[in-house]
Amino acid sequence: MRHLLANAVTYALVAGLVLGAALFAWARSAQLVVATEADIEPSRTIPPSSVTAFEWRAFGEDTYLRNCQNCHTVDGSGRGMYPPVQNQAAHLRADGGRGYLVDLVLYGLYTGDYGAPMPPMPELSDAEVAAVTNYVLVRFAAEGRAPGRSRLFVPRDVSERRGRGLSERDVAATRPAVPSAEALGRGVRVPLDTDAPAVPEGEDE
Amino acid sequence: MRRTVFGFFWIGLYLLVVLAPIGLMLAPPVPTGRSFWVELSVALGFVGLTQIGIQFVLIARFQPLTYPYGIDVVLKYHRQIALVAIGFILLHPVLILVEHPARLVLLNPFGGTWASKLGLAAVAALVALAVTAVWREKWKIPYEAWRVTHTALGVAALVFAQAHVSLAGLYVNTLWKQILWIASSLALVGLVAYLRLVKPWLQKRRPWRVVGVRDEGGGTVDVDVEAVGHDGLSFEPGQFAWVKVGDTPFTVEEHPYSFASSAEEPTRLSFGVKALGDFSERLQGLEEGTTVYLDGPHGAFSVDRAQAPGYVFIAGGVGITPIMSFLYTLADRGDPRPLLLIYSTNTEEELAYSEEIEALKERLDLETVLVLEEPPHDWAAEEGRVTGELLERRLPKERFVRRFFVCGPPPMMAAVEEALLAHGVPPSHVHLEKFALA
Repeated sequence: MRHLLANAVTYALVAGLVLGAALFAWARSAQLVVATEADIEPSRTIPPSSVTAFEWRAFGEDTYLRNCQNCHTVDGSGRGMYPPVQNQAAHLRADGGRGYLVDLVLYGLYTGDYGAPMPPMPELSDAEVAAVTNYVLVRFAAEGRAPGRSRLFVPRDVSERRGRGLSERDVAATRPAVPSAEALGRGVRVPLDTDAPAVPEGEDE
Repeated sequence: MRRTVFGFFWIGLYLLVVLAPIGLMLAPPVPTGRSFWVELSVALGFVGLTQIGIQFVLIARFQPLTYPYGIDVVLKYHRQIALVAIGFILLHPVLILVEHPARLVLLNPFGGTWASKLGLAAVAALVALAVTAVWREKWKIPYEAWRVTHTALGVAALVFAQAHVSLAGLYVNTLWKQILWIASSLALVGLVAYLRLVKPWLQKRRPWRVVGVRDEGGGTVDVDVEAVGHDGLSFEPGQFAWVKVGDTPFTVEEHPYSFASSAEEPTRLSFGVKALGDFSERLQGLEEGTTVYLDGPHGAFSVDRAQAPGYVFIAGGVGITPIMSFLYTLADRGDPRPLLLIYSTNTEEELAYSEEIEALKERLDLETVLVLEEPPHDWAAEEGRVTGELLERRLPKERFVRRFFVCGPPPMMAAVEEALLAHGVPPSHVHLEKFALA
């Protein structure tokens, strides 16, 4: 009798665990928990074509922290099998480089140079992709070589590149003739103590 | 009542602890939610890992934990849930690969990242754990060697998996989350150190001395031990203890034996031992004065857990030993309730405790039925096995209110249980101990 009960409880426990895991997965994938619209889409009052530097910077920094930092590290220097993401402005000057930077976030990347493929991240919103790419370009730029405002990304640049069904190797094939990520990042030192204010001094929020 | 409360409490706590990492994953900063299958994969990985961690707690023989259910149930759960946890953990990479096929390169143990290498190592350790456990008897792996390997593989799996989580975990993205995970894993590995070092050291304070080895017939001897310098061990009749022989409790070699003596005497105990293997043969040849150490009492197979107007004890072979504890204890308590003992062995020579059982008839309302598979020519009592037909004839009229305690080889217990249920005995009245240890 004890054993009958024990078996029943075991099945019930396993069912409970599977249910718990499934519920969690559904809630996370539906962006139900924690993420509010404001967390992933900045205020709609900012017209899509303008880039207000500081608000986007904080948003980009937050997106980088939550989705990228554990592999590419806090100063973008990478570790082990994860490449650095420093001095990426080189791609902006190359043919097809702008598209490439967006594609590798949306569709992932596997060149074979590094042990792990970059996973595709289509779940990031257009604003998140634009903001995090801008963040990486500006924050981890080589000394004095940060791209100017006019060359940064806006969400529309991202939305027009979606839906192409590219694989990680397809994206690798479109990589422009630019030094490797490791070469680009060599010698770049990103200071970690800058504390940019969320709102520029003297301006209203 | 207390048993029921604790019974629910541990189950509730288990669910909470195993699902807690999923809750932890919702503590900010939280990555943007990915697809359902990727998030399910991660959730299953975390749940599987936590289940493996709790396995260490389940085999630690903590009495508050095992006492509501009986330790045989807890150990069976340990075995069942191990396969479920491994299933979850195997699904973790499979689901990711379904969504991101390029990550197949991570399955190469010589490529990939340290996170993927350690994950593969953890899975390898877990599969080895499962395979050696499931096929241990078939492959005739010696029990002590198996047990040491099992512990080592378990620790290895946990350590590799923890390292994998620390390196790969997108969700373990703040210092305090890392500390929480690493501290939990350390605590679980520390539990092994407790069981192998601290617990034996504490056992050293409670030694027992062999004071007699008595032949009881049927190849069974009673090993009598006496508490040395402490107040003994209180147990319920029908329980058992793990016995270690020798001057040091720091040994892997320990075997479970039922108490065969009265529960009313906590400082002087007996174990009924039949020579079935190396260790039991050694026990039968023990000299007086030898030190032994006990880990117990354990077990839920006891009349004290099942109040009834009368009992039926059905013993097969060496299963008579806990029944003897029932009889001695009830006799010492002057219990007036009617008892029926059905004792079955292969031959008359294998019957043990014959004189003791006869003597106990003076002190108890005890009726006995002896059943031999191969009786001698002049055998007047029952022949064959304990079958439904025999029970039909021999069970008392009020069979539906009595409680049944069955102890013997697993096939015999299964057959008897089936026969009892077929004859209308309610399942809650049938008590067995399902032990699959050695």
